[in-house]
Formats: sequence, structure tokens, C-alpha cells
Amino acid sequence: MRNERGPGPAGRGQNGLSEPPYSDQPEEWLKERLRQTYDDIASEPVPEPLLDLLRQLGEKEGRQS
Amino acid sequence: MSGASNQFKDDLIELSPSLRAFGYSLARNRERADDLAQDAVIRAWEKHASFTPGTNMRAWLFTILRNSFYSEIRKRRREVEDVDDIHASRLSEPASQLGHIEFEEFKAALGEISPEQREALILIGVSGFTYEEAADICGCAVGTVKSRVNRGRAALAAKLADPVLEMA
Repeated sequence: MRNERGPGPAGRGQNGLSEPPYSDQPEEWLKERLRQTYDDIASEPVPEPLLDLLRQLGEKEGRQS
Repeated sequence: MSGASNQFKDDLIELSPSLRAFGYSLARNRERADDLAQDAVIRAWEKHASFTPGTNMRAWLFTILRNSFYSEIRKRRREVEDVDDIHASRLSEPASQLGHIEFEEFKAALGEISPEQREALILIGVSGFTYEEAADICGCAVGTVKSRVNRGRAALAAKLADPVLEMA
């Protein structure tokens, strides 16, 4: 299963097949995994306390003006 | 509230998911990511008169959040990222969830590299910032960002390739 993580060093040399040059491949699979990690959080609904805070922004000054 | 303030608020709401995600990439903890995002929103609102409309608000917000994160680190000094829980929970994963386990391995490895390398990888590899923008956000030279990206890549690759670490 090692090669499933990507054709970077972890997968290099294990199947001996025609893998692209070492310097290019890690970037692509790393980007993919990094994006997965990032999107994991970014796609979550914004938590209620943060939403409340955002909604309340400016309300105080609005009332004062 | 003025029209400009309304626009600023709308932009804040729109950018809050990516702000949280960037916070998580630094802190590796959802609660802290939420705290960081909230703190950044409050600070951004307090300083919004100093923001120039039309400039990169996302970069501006990321800079605010990043500054909060490192200020906190400097205050506490004893921040320990607990990847043990991830490793421990992984042991009980059924074999059918190998893809999930590999992703957890990746996240654990990402948590083990330095925050500076991690943020450089996220800013360049995911957030779509240029090296120049990332350097502005991090308050360092472009060459430093490039170096952190390269070292981060190498460190991640080494951790994922090391069977001893995987079994830890």
C-alpha cells in the first residue's frame, strides 16, 4: 500500500516502474494531500460562536450612530 | 454602519472558512484554530480603518492571525503538539480504512514538521499565494519562504518514508 500515498520518496523504488523524476512528483502529491488537509477544515460550516461574532460586528457602532 | 464597513464585514464572513483552515494549519487543533480565527476577526475589525480596499484582504487577515499565533507561542513557550492521540487512535482503525489511515499519517507527519515549514507549504501549496505574498505574510524574505517550502517537502517525505516513525 505504500505507493498509494504518492510517488514521492515513500513510493520511489518500490515498484521500479517508470516514475517521473523525483523533483517533480512530490510537489504534486504533496499539494494534493495538503489541499485535502486544508479543505477538511475550510469546508466545515463556520462554528456558531464565530458566526455570532461576525454577525455582531458593527452592531454596537450602528446603534451609537 | 457605513457601506464600506458592510463590505468589509461581508468579506470577513466570506473569508472566515479559509481563516479557520489557516489557523488549523498552524495550531493543528480545531479549538485553537477557532480561537485564532475569532481573535483575528476581532483584531481585523478593530483595525479595519487601516485596511486599504482593493488590496489583498485574505493576505492581510492571514498576517493578523499568524501574528496572534506566534505571539501566543512566545507567551507560552510550552506548546506541545500532541500527535500521540492520532497514532493511538490509528491503531484501532479497521483495515478497510487504509486510505483514511494514510491521510491520518500524512496529517500526523504534517504536524511534526516546524510551524514555519508547515505554513509555507500551506500558503504556497494550497492557499495560492505567490512567494512574495507569502513572504509578506510571514514577515521574511522570499528566499526564506522558498527554503521553508523545500525543507518542509523534504521533511514530510522523510517522515512518510520512515517505517520507524510510522509505527511509533
